[in-house]
Amino acid sequence: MQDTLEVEGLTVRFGGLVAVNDVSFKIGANEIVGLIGPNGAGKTTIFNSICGVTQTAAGLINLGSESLVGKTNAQIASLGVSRTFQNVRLFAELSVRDNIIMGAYRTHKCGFVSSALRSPQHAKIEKESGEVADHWIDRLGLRNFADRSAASLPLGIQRVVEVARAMAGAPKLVLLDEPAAGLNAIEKERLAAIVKQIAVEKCAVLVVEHDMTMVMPLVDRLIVINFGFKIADGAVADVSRSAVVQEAYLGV
Amino acid sequence: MIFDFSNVGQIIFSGLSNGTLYAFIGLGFGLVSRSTGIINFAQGEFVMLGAMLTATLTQFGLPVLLAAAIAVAITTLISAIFYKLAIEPARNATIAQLVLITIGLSILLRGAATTIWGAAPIPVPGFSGDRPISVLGISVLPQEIWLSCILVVVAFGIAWLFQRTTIGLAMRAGASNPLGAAFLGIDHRRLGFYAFILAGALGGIGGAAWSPLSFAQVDIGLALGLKGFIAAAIGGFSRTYGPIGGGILLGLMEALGAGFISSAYQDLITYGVLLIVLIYWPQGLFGGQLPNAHEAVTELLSSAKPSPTTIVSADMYKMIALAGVLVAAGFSLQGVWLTSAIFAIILAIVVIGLVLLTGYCGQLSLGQGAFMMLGAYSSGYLTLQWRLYPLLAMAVGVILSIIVALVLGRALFKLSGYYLSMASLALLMIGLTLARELVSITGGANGLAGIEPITLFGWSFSDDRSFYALASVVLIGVLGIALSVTRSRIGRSMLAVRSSPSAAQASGVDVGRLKAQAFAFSAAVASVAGSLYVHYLGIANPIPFGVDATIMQLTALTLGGLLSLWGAVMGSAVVTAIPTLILFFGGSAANQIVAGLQYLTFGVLLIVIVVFQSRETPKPVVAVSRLFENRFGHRKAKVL
Amino acid sequence: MSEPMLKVTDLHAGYGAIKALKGVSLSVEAGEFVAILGPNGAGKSTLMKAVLGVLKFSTGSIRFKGEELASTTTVERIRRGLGVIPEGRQLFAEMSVRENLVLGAYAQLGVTIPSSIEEKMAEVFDLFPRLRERRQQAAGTLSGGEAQMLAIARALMASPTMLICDEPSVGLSPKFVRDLLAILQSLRGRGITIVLADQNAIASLRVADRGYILDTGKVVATGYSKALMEDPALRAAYLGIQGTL
Repeated sequence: MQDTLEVEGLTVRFGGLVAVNDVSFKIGANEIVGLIGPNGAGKTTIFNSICGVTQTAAGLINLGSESLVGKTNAQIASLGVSRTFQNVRLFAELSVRDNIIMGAYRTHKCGFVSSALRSPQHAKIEKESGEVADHWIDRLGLRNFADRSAASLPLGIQRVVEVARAMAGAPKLVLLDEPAAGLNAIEKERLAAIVKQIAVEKCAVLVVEHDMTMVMPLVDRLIVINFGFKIADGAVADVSRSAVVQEAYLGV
Repeated sequence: MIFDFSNVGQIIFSGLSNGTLYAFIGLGFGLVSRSTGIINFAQGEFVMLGAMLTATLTQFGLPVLLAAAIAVAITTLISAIFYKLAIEPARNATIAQLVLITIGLSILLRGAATTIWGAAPIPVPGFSGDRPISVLGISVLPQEIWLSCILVVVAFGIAWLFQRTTIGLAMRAGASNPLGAAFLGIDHRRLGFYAFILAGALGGIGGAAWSPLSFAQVDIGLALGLKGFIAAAIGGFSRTYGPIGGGILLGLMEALGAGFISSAYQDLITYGVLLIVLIYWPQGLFGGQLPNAHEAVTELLSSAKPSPTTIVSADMYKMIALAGVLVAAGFSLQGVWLTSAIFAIILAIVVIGLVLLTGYCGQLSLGQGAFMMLGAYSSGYLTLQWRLYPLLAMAVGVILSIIVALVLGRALFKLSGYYLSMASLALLMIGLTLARELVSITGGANGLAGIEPITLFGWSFSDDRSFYALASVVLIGVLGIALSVTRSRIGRSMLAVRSSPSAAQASGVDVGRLKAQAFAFSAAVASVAGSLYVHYLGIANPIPFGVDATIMQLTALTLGGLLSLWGAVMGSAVVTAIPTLILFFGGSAANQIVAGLQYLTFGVLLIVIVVFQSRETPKPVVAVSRLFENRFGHRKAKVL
Repeated sequence: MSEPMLKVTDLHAGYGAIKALKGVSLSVEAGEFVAILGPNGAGKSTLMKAVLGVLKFSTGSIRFKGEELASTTTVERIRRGLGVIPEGRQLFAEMSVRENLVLGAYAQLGVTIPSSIEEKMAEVFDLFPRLRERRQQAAGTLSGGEAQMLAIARALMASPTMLICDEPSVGLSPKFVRDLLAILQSLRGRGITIVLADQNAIASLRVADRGYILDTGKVVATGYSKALMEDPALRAAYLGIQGTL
């Protein structure tokens, strides 16, 4: 079976500093993979390279047969990569439902003129994306919040809305950037359950996370980064027992 | 033409001389943008003030140097007061709002000057006589030597300021990393105040020292300000000597262009250069940093009600109410008030486009007049020369405008902030020059006369009342389309971009494309407005589409609240009524006073409303960082 | 005087509807080294922002040297003797190392740069000899470790009475983190009060006198460093140490 995401020899430089050094890994469909490492190790840089926010110096990033290197983040999103943000970035002026509809934006094309003149095509797209949004609203238990402004919700709910927005685009790959940050134990558990659920949608999930308690039970596989190098890649139990990881990541 | 060295030398020298003044103004732009991130559109008016005050004071019998000193002091004071009254209180202002505030000052100063002095040029004696000196066969005025010497001193002074004083270092630090600066106890507000004081002084000095070379006149501020901006843009805002290089380069280009090609096309060269620089070398030819004007960050505010993204019943009621008001006004208004209503409708059509572009996409265009002219001259030329059906000619104008806007928009929206404002102004200047000079198409300054009224199914909209009805229908149509856009998938993505550009991009929204489309829409409706205008008056000339029109559009847009389509219509009605009212009550006053008061009113309105609006936005939750993000633009933390 | 140098009482703060701090209280005595710990998003950074005046807080109080800070700006707080090693360093990337350092003393400088600043700079260079070599270099061209040195050195230029260190170990190698903490410890030895918010929990507690552990906006544990380190429940839950280790 073909892998969903293939990263090969990824290198990123900032000025003279090598932030990511020759990192390679693969993620298969339906797989949930954790990318962990100390703050500043290069996790976020890898994340941003996949999204097209950061320019890579060398290496390949392939989504299926499509190369993501050199594409803008909007183009990469259109190819089927959704993400959430470490500091939740919802559309504050829009309702929860509209936020999730925006997630489905990439699945349709509808020009300015067609929208302005309210063509049947526009109506059809609006109806379809509305249905997709409603599907995710119900599935993730957001019905009571659907018409509220996204900004008025507690952080735990905002993160769920972000996941719903990411999923509304029927992505091949979902990138979650520190989804546990700021959540309490109950909210973390609820979010982990949701993430487990979405992997069933035949999409791969990459979780960048600092909080080990969140990652360990959630993921199928762990990739550990330190100083821009990949230092471990494997099943959770094996990785967390490895001496290199304990020294580098756990700081003991 | 006989090639004569002294002639060439003279041309080069006059270029240098003008370039020196541009450099002065450019330095003022650089100073303010380097320390506050603001592009001060009023910089040219400071020069005008310096010149006018020097002229008046010498007429009162003061020695010219004393007059110049007092003029500089007053200009400095005005700049300082402006900062305290308008910039500092506008704490949460976005970039577009800050542009509007400084434009407001520029209009206000021009209005006050016009009211006080009128339009007549006033001669100013040179600081040390007006007898030319001959150097290598080139005749040089002593004042030109004064001007260059002062520029050299000022440039070294600025270099000293930024390299050797704590204030200068702190100014650079504030622009480089506002948050880091605050952590060291650097008070950016006080530094901004100093920057405006210096910029006022710089403008005053430039104006005072230059006025003996030309005449002091109240309407020079805008053009000089633009050229100073070009000098800074070419040379790079962040370099101390950049604006000097840019100014001299610009002066030489202008002089050589005027000397060897044609002085008629001088502006074309100047503003063409600006457009090219903005598109291809946004950091300036000599490198450096951009004036920091990135997207404002909308905080997640708990009180915010979600914006509607589908047409709601309230929209329909408002539309019906507007139609009712239009009908009622159409039956009751007479004479000048009916004419005024027609102009208000035409203005409203333009401003509706700006609501989408500025309100929804955060891009401020100062050049809608260029698209109005495309519509106006397409209608005029094609109906007169090709006997084209008026509505068809109008459509040609719309298509041309859309093409120009899309091409320019795609090139410019990779950048953000002030660039569209300046580029669109350059486009307007180019449009005005072409309209004046392409006599075979546009009829030059006299324009095209005898344009037929619009006809439809055999009915000719030739009298005021029937034209009013036609314009009202067009207004309702344009408003309906604009409303439909804002309440569609497109409008939703515009709001999404406003809230979080990065999340919008991550959802697959092509932000540049979206902004270019809004620009094209605003261009198309401006073109329609231009066509309506000439069919109504029967003549097409450049006068109604110049900077004055821009000022009215901005005031109307601001009055209406930037984001409201209904507000755009109401703002336009008020703005059109103001000159009519001034004429009505001050009918006997001299023209200049009427014009001056009109500017003055618009300027004050702009400043007061924008400052008020910017304060009205809910209290910042992240006080300092948000303030910096809005004022100086958001900077991603550098990964070291 | 009996009042502690920094006293935070029942602090609530947040971003819009998100409440990041829900009633945090803590105190720091003069000359103490206190570590603030907790997972990402626990509220460490919000607490630092509130203390520094970057974030307005809704209720509660922050007193520094016995005076309430609620209505003061960041600039005033710095002038009263707070020094900051900010998160992300916040250097002036285009300016030279020297210029960054001069600005560090900004709160005490007049219009021109006095020659006495050279002495202060020499002191700082003695602590960080690498910076002396690089003083004409633009701050943006420094390596991560050097940039962090500059951030510390810049904060020291103003001779602060209390130094707030917000995540200084980010992106640094374990060896450099050890060096950095040793430097902070030596600064404490010179009488500077230190508040360190860091995710590097164990290493921080090794140098600090006391610690506060935050989670979802509340203080969940506090005590002397040794006691915190030895509490197995805390080790497992908040210090990133699994029971199996």
